[in-house]
Amino acid sequence: MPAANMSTESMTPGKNSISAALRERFGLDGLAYPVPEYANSIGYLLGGITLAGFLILFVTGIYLAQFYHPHPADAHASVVAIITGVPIGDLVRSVHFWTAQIVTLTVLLHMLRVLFSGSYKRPREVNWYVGLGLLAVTLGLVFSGSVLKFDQEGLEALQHNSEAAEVIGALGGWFSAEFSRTVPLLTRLFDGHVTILPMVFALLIIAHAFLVKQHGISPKPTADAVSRPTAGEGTSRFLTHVGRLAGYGFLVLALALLLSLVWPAPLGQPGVAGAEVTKPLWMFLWLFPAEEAWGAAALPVVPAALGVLLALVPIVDRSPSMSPTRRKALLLVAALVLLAIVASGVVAAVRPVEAHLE
Amino acid sequence: MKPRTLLASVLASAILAGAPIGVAFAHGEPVIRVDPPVVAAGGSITVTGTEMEPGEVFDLALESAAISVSLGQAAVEGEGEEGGFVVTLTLPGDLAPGSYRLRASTEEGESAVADLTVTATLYEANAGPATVQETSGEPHVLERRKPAGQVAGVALLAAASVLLGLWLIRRR
Repeated sequence: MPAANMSTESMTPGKNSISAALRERFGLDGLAYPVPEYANSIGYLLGGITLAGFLILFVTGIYLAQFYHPHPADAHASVVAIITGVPIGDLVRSVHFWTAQIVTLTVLLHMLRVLFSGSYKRPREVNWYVGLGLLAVTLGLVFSGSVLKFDQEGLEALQHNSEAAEVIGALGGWFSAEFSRTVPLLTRLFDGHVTILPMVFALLIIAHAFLVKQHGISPKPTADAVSRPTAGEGTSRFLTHVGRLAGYGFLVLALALLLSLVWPAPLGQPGVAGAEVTKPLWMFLWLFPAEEAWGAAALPVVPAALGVLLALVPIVDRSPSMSPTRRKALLLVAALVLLAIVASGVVAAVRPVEAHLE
Repeated sequence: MKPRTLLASVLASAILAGAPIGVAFAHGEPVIRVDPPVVAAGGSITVTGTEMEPGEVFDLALESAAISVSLGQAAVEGEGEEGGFVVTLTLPGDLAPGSYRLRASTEEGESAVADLTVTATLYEANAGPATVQETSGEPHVLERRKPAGQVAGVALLAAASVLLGLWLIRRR
């Protein structure tokens, strides 16, 4: 045992014997493997912060599911009951809502960091695709969650979803009302929100974490950095990384709590079928101008096109160099696409609501 | 019993047992589908009937625990043993929002049902916040203010989270 640890033990024997006992019983020494020091910076913690946010969502979501009724005739009323009659129901629902917003932001920032630092390069290509799957699951959870409250915004989102399902034909079968004559689409979306998507998330996050462990944290994108496996390298320890990650997780919780106090999660009037008087959440708002220009086809086609572009990244950029200056073309295209999405969102936000549904 | 007689009995029983099945395959239970499944009061729905006998006439009615509203009739068209209908109906504008069943039934007792959710009329659509009905009948925006005790508790919990978070981030 290193001398420093022995002198620490002699100073606080009680505390260290508890610590040693816990480390032995929980096998924590297996988590004390090396990681680079820069892995503890916030840029390299965004993925873990997102995961911490998901833990908050699972806990708050389980509580909400005890009181929510997933049927079109009763869903909105059950949400009103959560707000007005369930102990801390409004607070828990608001924490769930705000954490979902924060998590969507951190997962997008995480993806942008990975893109900028070239962390999708060999041998990490598969993990890039696993990450894209997690992004899709995250957006699916946000979308389905926004429908469940079945207020005007939720019902309009469902109606847009049905139109998009018609465009993609057989592939959109699950999203159409005809898929099941005995269970309403809202109920099936609830099932997807609380079982299918969390299960897919769990499988993908296990794969994601395993691949990060196997390949190590990608090298910093310096001028002469080359993408390579780095497992076992570094002067910090993974437990330190987890501690830092947990710390930011608590900050996310604090932010969600404060936002919940000041701005409780919104709930509109019960949805009126066929009406279009609301706008979607910010992560979907940017699609509105495309839908206005090209109709319902834009709803599945534009996100699919973006998905294809993201999937092509490790295929198009196969050089081992991680330097951003040597990947200017790809980063420029990424910046332009991002700018177009942001601009589209701003345009949709300032324009008045217009009817798109047929 | 002689083997031949036993065999004949078994065959006869099998044929008699299979007859109703044969009749059932020729003409299954009627099925109706409603599109859209969520519609505003006063809006239009398309009711599609399948697996019906050509020439049959179905009475269409909208039912709930409180009411039953006749929506008209639909005649089954088609050839051979499979027929159906497609009709477009307009719902009453004064239907209360809620869960309903659309029932198609014949005088002979055949029937099919489909669920339908009716929302408020299009004129009542608005993007405003949810309201609750006061005892006076006046709508009132949902009260979202928290009790002082809950606000204090949440603020304390948030402060504790911040302190714990910063400690975890800064410790070596």
